[in-house]
Amino acid sequence: MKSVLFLKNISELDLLQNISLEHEIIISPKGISRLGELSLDESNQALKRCHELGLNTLIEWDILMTENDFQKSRSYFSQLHVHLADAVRVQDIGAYRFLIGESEVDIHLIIESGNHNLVAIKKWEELGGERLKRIVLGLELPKSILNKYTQEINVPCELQVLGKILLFYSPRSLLSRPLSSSSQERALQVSASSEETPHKGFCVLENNHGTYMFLPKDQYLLDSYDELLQTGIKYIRLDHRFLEGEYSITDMATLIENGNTQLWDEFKNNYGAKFIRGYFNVNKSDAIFPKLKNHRTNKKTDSYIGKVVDVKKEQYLAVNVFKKTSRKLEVGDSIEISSPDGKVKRIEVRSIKNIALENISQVSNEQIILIAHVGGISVKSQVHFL
Amino acid sequence: MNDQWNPELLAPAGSLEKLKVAVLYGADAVYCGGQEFGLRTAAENFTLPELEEGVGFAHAHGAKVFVVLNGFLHDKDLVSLPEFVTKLDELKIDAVIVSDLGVIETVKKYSKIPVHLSTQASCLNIEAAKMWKELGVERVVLGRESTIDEASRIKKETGLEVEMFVHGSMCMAYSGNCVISNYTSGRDSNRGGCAHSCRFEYKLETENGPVNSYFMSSKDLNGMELLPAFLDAQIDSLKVEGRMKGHLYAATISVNYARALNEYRQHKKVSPETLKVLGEELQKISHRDYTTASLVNPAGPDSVYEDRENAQGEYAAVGVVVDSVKNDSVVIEIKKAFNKNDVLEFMLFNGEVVEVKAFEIYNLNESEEYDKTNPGTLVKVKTAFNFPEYTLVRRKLEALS
Repeated sequence: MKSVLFLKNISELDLLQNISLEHEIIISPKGISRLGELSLDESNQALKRCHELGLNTLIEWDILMTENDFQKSRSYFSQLHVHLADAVRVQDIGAYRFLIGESEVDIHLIIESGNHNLVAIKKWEELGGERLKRIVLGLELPKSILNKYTQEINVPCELQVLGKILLFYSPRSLLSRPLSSSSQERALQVSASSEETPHKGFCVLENNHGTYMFLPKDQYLLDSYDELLQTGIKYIRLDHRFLEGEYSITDMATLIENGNTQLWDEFKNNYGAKFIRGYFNVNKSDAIFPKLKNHRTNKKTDSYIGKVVDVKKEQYLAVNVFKKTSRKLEVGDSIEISSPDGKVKRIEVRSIKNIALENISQVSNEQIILIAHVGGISVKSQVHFL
Repeated sequence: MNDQWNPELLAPAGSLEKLKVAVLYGADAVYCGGQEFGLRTAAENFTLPELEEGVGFAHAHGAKVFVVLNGFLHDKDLVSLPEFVTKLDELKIDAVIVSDLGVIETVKKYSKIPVHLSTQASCLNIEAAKMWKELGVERVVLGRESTIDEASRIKKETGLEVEMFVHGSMCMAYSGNCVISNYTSGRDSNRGGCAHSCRFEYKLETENGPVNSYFMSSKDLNGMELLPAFLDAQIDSLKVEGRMKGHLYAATISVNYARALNEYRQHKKVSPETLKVLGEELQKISHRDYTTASLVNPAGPDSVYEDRENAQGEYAAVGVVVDSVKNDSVVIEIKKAFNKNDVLEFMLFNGEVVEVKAFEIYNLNESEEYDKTNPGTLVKVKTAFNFPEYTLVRRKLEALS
């Protein structure tokens, strides 16, 4: 696996001469990169320096853009020395189409939001054609899925193995007001906690592109290096830009070179924030869904008659009749009534009254009907033909 | 302006009952979810028989039904999707609303249902819209970060139908770009498990000490005053958020936006006076403070709702008419309690209101007269008016006991 590192700011430029050519360097121009800190001039300076050193260089253009922003970004992009870069990385589908149609640069497509199925990914790959050189996969994909995808996708795949986990990306300036800041230039960064979640110390950042929230725990998969190899991932990304502590691009390069597990252990032990493996082992983020509602109140089938909407003890059950019943309910029918708490009662319908309290032998256009009270049955119970 | 221009009012339908309410109160189209594949897992949603009834009802009233399949689905979720899509096709729904390219490909493969791109895909610019068009999308629901002016340009440049949110709650993040719930609650927000962490109060540790703030909570969108701009821009569909909201919301939003659009259809403009009156009606339902968000300019810091989730409107829905006895009584399903002799307001489908004093309230077989009612029950209120099924009954909140 090859590694992908970030040039955090221009002060790291001098460190590049110590970086092995086996690493790739991401240049993040402030005008088009979410978390970029390099000005246009600094970005071009960095592109030139990387080119001189023979380092593979990637321009990060990962902001999402309204049409007005897109026009500004196109103009900004045109001022970058793109010919010195090996590829441009985009997430906005508009930028993807623009690069395919109006440039000759190689493309890395970032599909970290959504795109958790092979059908979608294969289609994105098809659209990029020869120009698409890499797909940057999301952190929500477990290793079993990664393994499958790398076999099916024709271009190499990349995964972040070290760095902050981005939870939230908004174009709005959300910290300026609570922090009473009017600065247009300075990025704002705070730690945020809420009593409504056990997770404390979310890193929140506001810059010229909007506001971001990161998980308090950081992604760390270096100790799963062998498993990563087995997944078929070809590129691993180490993002030191918001790690706690003063880490540099050379620290990241040193960390990943030669597969030095002792160094990894030391790094992990010395690191302030806690690390997690995220969804690398398994993703069960839909496991709770069946518990979010009571399926006893929603098991409507072809035999569905309606739901109990009122109960008067020892007098009646009021049933709101479903219009699309398989047949009309009649006196003498056997029905099953299932309550939200799991009780099931089977009865024969001995009488039916409409809302004018007239006895009817069959339900025709009535919306509400009254049948005899059944003990233990409550509102929201479901009524079905037996 | 094109004389034939006829924008669509698209309302939320969280249940079959709400679908009927929205249609009867003037929505030109409704969107609803099945039991899977959407973003409202906890909502009642529609079973297939309910969808069949809903589609039949809507079509009989000249309204369209769009079904949301807007989750970012995983491979395993796609396994059962073709069968569902085939059934939707048989039900003759009018479109599906989709975020995920894998879902689009599946829908195209197994049906001829038109595909609308969900706002969840954050389509925001002309190039992106062109890409989605090439992928088979007929309409884009633009991200809520787009201005009306940008939407107009996207429509002109792509030839796509363009849909924009005009009213309702808003994600603070770029839609589809928030996974807070995934990591903090173990619930995939992009498959229907959003825990609304953006509405929490947070303590921000600043250089000057801690600051408590609801800094991620957005005010609610209200585009009524900008309706002329939507119409000038020829936005195809004006969408209202709120499948999880109640009947009064569905009715009030539908009827008031419909009234504005009807005036436009008749007179080719909506008067400022009408907008003012209808805007006041929108204040009566429960809502957070309103904002026009990014409809004109990118939403600023004042679009943050710096308050706890306790928003109340001037009115509450006390119930829905579910049946009636001609010239004698109406049966009301009680949502919020009211008492004997209270004045109830029955909202007609054209927006007019009829006041009825609840002199006599009975249980359904009239064996007992009530002095007060209980939510979750049905009562008969004696009245000579013949209010149709699904008429909303409301009451001023300060008058509620």
